[in-house]
Amino acid sequence: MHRLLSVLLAFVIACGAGCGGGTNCNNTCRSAGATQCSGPQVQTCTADANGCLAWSAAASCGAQRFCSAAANACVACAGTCSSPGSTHCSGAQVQTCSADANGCLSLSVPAACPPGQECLSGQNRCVGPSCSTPKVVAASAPVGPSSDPGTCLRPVGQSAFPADQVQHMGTRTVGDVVSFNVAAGTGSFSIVSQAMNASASDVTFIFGGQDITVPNSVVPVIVSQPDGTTFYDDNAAPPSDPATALAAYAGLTPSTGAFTAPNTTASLNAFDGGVPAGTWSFKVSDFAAECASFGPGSCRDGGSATSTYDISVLTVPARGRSSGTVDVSFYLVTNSITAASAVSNAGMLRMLSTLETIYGRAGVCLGTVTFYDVPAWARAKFATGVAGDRTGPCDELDQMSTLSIPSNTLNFFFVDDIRPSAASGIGTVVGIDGSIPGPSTFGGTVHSGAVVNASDLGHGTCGSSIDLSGCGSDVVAYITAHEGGHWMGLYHSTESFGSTFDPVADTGQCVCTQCAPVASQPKCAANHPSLSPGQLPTQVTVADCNKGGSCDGSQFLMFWLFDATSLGQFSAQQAQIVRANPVVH
Amino acid sequence: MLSILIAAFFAAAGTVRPEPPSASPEEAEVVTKDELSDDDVRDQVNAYLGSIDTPIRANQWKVLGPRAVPLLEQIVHSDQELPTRRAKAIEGLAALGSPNASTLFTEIAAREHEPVVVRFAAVRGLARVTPPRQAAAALKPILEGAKDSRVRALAAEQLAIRSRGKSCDLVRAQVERESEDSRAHYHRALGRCPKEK
Repeated sequence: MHRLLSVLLAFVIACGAGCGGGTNCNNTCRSAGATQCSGPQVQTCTADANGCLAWSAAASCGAQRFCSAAANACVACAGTCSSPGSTHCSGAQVQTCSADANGCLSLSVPAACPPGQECLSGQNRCVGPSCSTPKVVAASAPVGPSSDPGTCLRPVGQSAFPADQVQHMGTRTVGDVVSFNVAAGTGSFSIVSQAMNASASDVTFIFGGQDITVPNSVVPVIVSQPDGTTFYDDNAAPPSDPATALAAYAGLTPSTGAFTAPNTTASLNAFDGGVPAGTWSFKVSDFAAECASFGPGSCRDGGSATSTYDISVLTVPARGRSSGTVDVSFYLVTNSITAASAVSNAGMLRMLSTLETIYGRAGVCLGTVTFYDVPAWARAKFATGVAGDRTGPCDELDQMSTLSIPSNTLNFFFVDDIRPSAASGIGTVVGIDGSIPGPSTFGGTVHSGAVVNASDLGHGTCGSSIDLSGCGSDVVAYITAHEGGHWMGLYHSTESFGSTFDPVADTGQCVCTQCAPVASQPKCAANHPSLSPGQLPTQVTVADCNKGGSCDGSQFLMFWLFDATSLGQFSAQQAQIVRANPVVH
Repeated sequence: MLSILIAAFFAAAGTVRPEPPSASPEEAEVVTKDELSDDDVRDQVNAYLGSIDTPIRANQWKVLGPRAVPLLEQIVHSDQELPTRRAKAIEGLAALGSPNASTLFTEIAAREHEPVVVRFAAVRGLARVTPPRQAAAALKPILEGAKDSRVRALAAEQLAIRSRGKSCDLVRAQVERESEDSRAHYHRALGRCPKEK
């Protein structure tokens, strides 16, 4: 009896572990098919030939699955990446895709790149500057006339490009059709027009029932490709998505202007193998000529069909590389610093270092950096005298640009103040680019430079990383880089109203109606709000535009404003456009 | 060209953009954005101070209302803030017309150690918040007392503008006292005054 009870008890105990198998089984699990975890692997309760149950050897759960202790079963990884070792940028920091203890792939916590490197969003990896230290020099003598010319200068410059890359077409009248050759292997071209005898009067169009007055900007109209198809038509309505246009020409360029392609996503894609070789053509034109051609129904004032321009076409070989060099000139229109002291000034050198870091994100190194003094009369006239809203060829901004010397450099004029608009109620700015893009390789013209308020230089404290809240030299570098970005052909990635965007598809968009504070969205421009007199539509901010999706883009240098969190990045396509500009070699 | 005309309604990129045709003078009454939260106002102030090449209009500051004033005053007073940011904050305060603005701007304009961009903003701001009849009294001490000839010249220009030429005798008298080099700064001020017969 005791033995029977013992057997029964053993059976009960065995059943407690799993009532399967024969009476001689020493089952280690209860029911076939049950699972349990062994670390990240799984064991399955299986029956042997005798029906005895036992846990199998631990086995993998399969690709991107692991055994969850909570469920005692295999579950899918909540992975955030798919390729071990791949990297992803989170701002300027990098995340690495790696397997955790369960074998699941996920992005690591953002970490700083190795010293001297930054995470490039266009490449999703840390990239170190391969640039050599720029050569920083001071010019020995001030540039420009020794006394104020006292008249409006509109010099016609000569390109500093190698002769075999310049097709000088001479003086042409608006309406003339000009042909130029593009050789195989060309990566970009620029049509540079400089006024010889052009109407300096503003032009007033009748558009949408209103009079709109604009400077008489020069623009090539109907640019045709070798196969006869239209590459650009200045009188065609731009597409709703500007990135789909083959060319964008949206700036105001009175007197002197450059039309540089490719500068849109569509043309970058179309020219991936190089600009189509053959004979291109365009019609010389300006707004005055277009206004005259429209007739009185659309042209209120300023129409003229007699202007003449000096025309040059520059061609740049397809570089097929991801880097380039730009030489930079700083014209010190300030009483704060001289060229001789700038080369060793700590604030200036910090500014240069930050500028190189920012441009390095586009694969562009600084080559030779030259500081120039200007004569005393020019400092008195321009250091605090450039008005932000006066951009005509005879206004201070453009006249100051004529001080630049003939060279193929990115020209910046550092000033002490930029005056607010003469029209009351419109505030000041801290940077202005004369035109988008600038007439690269042509120095001394009315648009041969960008102006930057350099008042913050040397102010604040600067640490080891770029600091846009406390380091004044970094702020000056950021503004300089932004205006230089315009010079090299970049537009604001998102304009202030969050309703117009650059012609580049990979810079994100920040749509006001989706990204502005909810209370402000009814007053977004796209909603055609009813506004009080003088009130403007809602404007999008950095904080509105750093969320990804349709609220993206403030991470880029060319966003319309910056704050302490700005990252100053270039998208891959922006970097392509910059590197294709003739100023980059 | 069409893109330019379309952009003229809103904003062209990069360069200082054309005036939207419907914009009215700065003095137009604007409705304060009461619906904005305090955080929204703070964000907007921060945004405007970070504008690069897009000018911020007086009405844009005004719309933020009095809640923006202490935020801007804090920035103007802080020696940790960068000069251009302080100058923009002064511009905002001038637009908002805060009660303390006149006193604050007078103090800053008189400080010789301030960066010129800050002093310039203060001089312009002082001229803006001072009624035209009191412009001479407010600006004359700067015109005659500032050690930096550029600041004196700006005071002269603002005085000529605000008084609509009625204080040009003060401007001309100051020009007479200036050295040959310093007189070069006064061409804008004199340009606001009727030519002497």
